Amino acid sequence: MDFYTAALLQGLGYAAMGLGIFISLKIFNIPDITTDGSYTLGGVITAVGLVSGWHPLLTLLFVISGGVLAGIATGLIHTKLKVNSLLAGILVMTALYSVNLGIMGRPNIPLINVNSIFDLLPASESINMELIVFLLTVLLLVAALYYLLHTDFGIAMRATGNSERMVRAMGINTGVMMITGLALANGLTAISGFLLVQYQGFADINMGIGIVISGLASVMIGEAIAKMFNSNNILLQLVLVVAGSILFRLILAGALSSGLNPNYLKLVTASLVLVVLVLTKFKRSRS
Amino acid sequence: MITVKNTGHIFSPGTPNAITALRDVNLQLNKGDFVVVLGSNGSGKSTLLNAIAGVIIPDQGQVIIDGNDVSDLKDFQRSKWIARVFQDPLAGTAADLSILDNLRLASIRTQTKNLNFGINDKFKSQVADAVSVLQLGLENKLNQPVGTLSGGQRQALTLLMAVMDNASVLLMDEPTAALDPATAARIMQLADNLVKKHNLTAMLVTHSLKDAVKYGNRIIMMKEGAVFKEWDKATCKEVTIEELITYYE
Repeated sequence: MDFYTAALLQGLGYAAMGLGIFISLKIFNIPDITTDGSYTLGGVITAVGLVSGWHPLLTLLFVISGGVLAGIATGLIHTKLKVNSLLAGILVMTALYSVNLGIMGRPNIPLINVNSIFDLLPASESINMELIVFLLTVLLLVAALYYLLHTDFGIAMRATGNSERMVRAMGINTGVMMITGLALANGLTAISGFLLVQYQGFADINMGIGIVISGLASVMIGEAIAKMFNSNNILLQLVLVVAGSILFRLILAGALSSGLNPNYLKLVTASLVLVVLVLTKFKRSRS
Repeated sequence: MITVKNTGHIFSPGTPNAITALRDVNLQLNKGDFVVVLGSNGSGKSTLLNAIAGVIIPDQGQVIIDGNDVSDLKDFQRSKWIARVFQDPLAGTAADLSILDNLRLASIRTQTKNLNFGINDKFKSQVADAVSVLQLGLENKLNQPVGTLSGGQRQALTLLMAVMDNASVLLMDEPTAALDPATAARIMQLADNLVKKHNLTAMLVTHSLKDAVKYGNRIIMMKEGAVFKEWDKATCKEVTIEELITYYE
């Protein structure tokens, strides 16, 4: 398969996680490291479920539940035990490593001859089933989030990251709101684990290491582009997170195809995120 | 109506830094009262206001609002009765949200925030009407993020938001301290109009003695966590800035 098609697919696959990070980072100002663990958790549940012969959609239900529970754990530790949000995420991520290993029973599960999400629609030679499934999923998620963020509940959620005092004065329990937000974010992240494991054909205990940075990158690239449009439109922001996710994978693919030693991939990734972060910061202070 | 009964509160109890912020405060605020709370820094004014709002739950005593004992309710649970305006003019509104979104939240302050779309055409025209009263030209900027407005405009919006949904009590903690004199005067005038129009029980913590004599129909002077001197509806009319200032010494 074409190098760049693969990057496009990965970008779409990781878009769900990007949307999750959009919620935790942009709405609640929390860089949620739980992501590393909940992404792997999503992948692990997918592998175990599909190998056990579960229907892919039933598996998806468990995957989302797993991510939601991980987010609730981080949220509870942060809001009820008053632990710093970054530290709360690190704690849950670390704990999830054992949980994931426990669920898998071994560090790696290949998906051989299983009924996956790509087998739900009738196969055809002329279409790229993976592309269709990924596109449909992303479309559904963007639409659902767009809907949610415009409801009264969604407005309350968006306000929570802005001014906690105001939100509490409006009769909203900010703690519950934050837990719900983190649950939602990690549920979305787990969906990325679900998609990517089926795409790459295996689940691995280490598949989530440093993955949060991809999510941060897609949100920040999206934000940088949004600044150009000078728009506060939620739909545009959501679409740009997806675009950011794809763009980020294309940049990595470009770097690799131009002869970058794959060992340096994470270094390049981190540098890229730093550059985008600094660029958007300077833009912000000027406006 | 609010009743504050035997309320006392100590910050950092049992430590060398222990501060008695409130000692045995008893207070009754009636409908139509515009109570101004005065006192030097650290006298317990803001603690009293926060105890009523539920931001702090006092060590002892009771707070009763309209016959409901709310002593154990947190601030977001007391918002059913209480609307608030903060000292920081940016704290009362959500910067990234549009004027419309902010006012939507305010219009359902006492209700649950569920998965309905509340912003329809009817609500929009309702908001445009409400905002036009402020005469700030905001009715044409309803979709603009509140973060693009000035502090004075945002404090005016905060006041407007306070009365959008069945408020019975309005708590104001130095709402004009961060504003220029002209804007501060406009904000206080607006607050007074809204309090009268909606027949609210209002409580204003301030250092402005001018505002105290102009708007208060009751004045309370606090000292070391207790009510030290009080002017009721009758004596309040007579009191002068010069007289008030002597109580700060």
